[in-house]
Amino acid sequence: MCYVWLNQAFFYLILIAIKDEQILEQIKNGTVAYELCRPYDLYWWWYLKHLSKRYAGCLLRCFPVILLALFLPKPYNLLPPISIKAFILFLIALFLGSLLITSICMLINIITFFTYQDKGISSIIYTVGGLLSGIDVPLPLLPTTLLMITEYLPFRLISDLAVRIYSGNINITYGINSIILQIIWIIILIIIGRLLMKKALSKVSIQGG
Amino acid sequence: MSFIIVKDLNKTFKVYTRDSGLINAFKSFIKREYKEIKAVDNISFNINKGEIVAYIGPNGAGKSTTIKMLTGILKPDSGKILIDGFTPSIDRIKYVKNIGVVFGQKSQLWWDIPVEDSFLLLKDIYKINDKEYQKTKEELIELLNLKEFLKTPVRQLSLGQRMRCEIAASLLHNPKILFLDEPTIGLDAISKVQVRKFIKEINEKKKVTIILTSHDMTDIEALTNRVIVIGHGKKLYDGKLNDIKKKFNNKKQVEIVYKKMTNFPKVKGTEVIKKQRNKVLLEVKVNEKTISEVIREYSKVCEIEDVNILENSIDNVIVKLYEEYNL
Repeated sequence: MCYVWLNQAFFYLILIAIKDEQILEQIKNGTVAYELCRPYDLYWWWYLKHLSKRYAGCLLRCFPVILLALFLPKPYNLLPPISIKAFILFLIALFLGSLLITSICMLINIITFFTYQDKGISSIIYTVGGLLSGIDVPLPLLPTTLLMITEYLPFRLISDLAVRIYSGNINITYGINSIILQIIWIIILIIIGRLLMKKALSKVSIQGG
Repeated sequence: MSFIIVKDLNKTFKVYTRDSGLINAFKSFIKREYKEIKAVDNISFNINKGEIVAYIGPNGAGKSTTIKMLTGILKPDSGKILIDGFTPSIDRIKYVKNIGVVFGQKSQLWWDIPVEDSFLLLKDIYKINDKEYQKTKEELIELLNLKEFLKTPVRQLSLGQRMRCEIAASLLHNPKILFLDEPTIGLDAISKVQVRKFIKEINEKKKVTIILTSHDMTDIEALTNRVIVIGHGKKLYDGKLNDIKKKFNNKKQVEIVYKKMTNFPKVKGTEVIKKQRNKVLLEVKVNEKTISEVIREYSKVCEIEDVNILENSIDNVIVKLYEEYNL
């Protein structure tokens, strides 16, 4: 039950399919030109924009869900974390998960620079990522072959990891190892994103006018 | 050395083309055809500090592309741009602190928040210190008359109000250069005059170098005397607006209203365009015949009641200029 409630509470933080309409619109209609006239690094600017959008949404949503879930009758209620250590680890994993998802969503934005349409790339990532991250269906319920695949992809580290640390489904050492893996994935995705961004900006053509 | 140096600038775009129809749409999945368009073709010019330069040309001539390269948004294919010691596309982040940009067709303000909040965001983005920000802001509010709608969300402003805010936003960080890409597009007469007056003022007061594009020739006439004309990506003319005017304004139209014409005169150097019952419209080649000579000849044969001299408007001059270069 914990799995579902926590996913619901932190929905905004971990759901892949959250689009940066503003950013995508800017790329499509050329207003991105203004962003490039400002003294900041566009990658980090958008990164923070995306991240803050997620946290803003999450803050509104998580408290009512958690409160409701705590006071529901057994066995439908949300149980407290298995230990304080696990809870701290859960918070760290959740935070890193939000960085990870932002790095993935940045790739969608950047690829839009090349395609001028985000529909293709975003539907692929949203579908595959949604399934393999455990948000659509809890990961332990997936067939074993699919479960094997999730081991090699970053998606399960977005929320599945954090939730399973919380509920004690994963022990602390395995949790710490996975968190290190999370950090590695974040770094890899950011590097890919920045390289693509550099390429995009050097051959960008601004749409319209 | 000039403040802005542009040398042998080139930029080519690939434009994908396909014939219409479903079959051709599928074909384009396999093989895409495109043509190359030289948006900017070997353009060079220099601009000094404190100048106002108008960059004109018909739609699709390459004006905006040049502006985008000058502001560091686009990377030139080849050629050199050196502005105040920076190469825009390479030192982009350091360079853009010195420039302000207004694209008339796009908005840089945040749609849902009051203008003043947008300004505050820009203050943080450009890391302007409090004192300087206050001073510049007050100054701009005063000059552009922004006081009444400073607290209104941008989406509720009229186009004229918004454009004034856009210009203010581009000047908050006291840039040395201001790029204005069609700043008066869609504005009514009063707003246009206000914007022009303001542009002139900041150029004189703050010695801001201004590069502007516009299709409104009266804008350009009011603001500057130096124009660079570009067409099909090539630079066609760089010099005084007055010189173009003189060159293409060698014909004037004169309308003469008369009474009692004895016989219709043939005056050399003029051509009759329209003849009505006591009215004639003539085109006078000014370099062959002066207007007063024409009037004198006519007054010999009839009693002149009224004379109208129709000067070629600046728009007509530009149309002729574009025609000459086959644009």
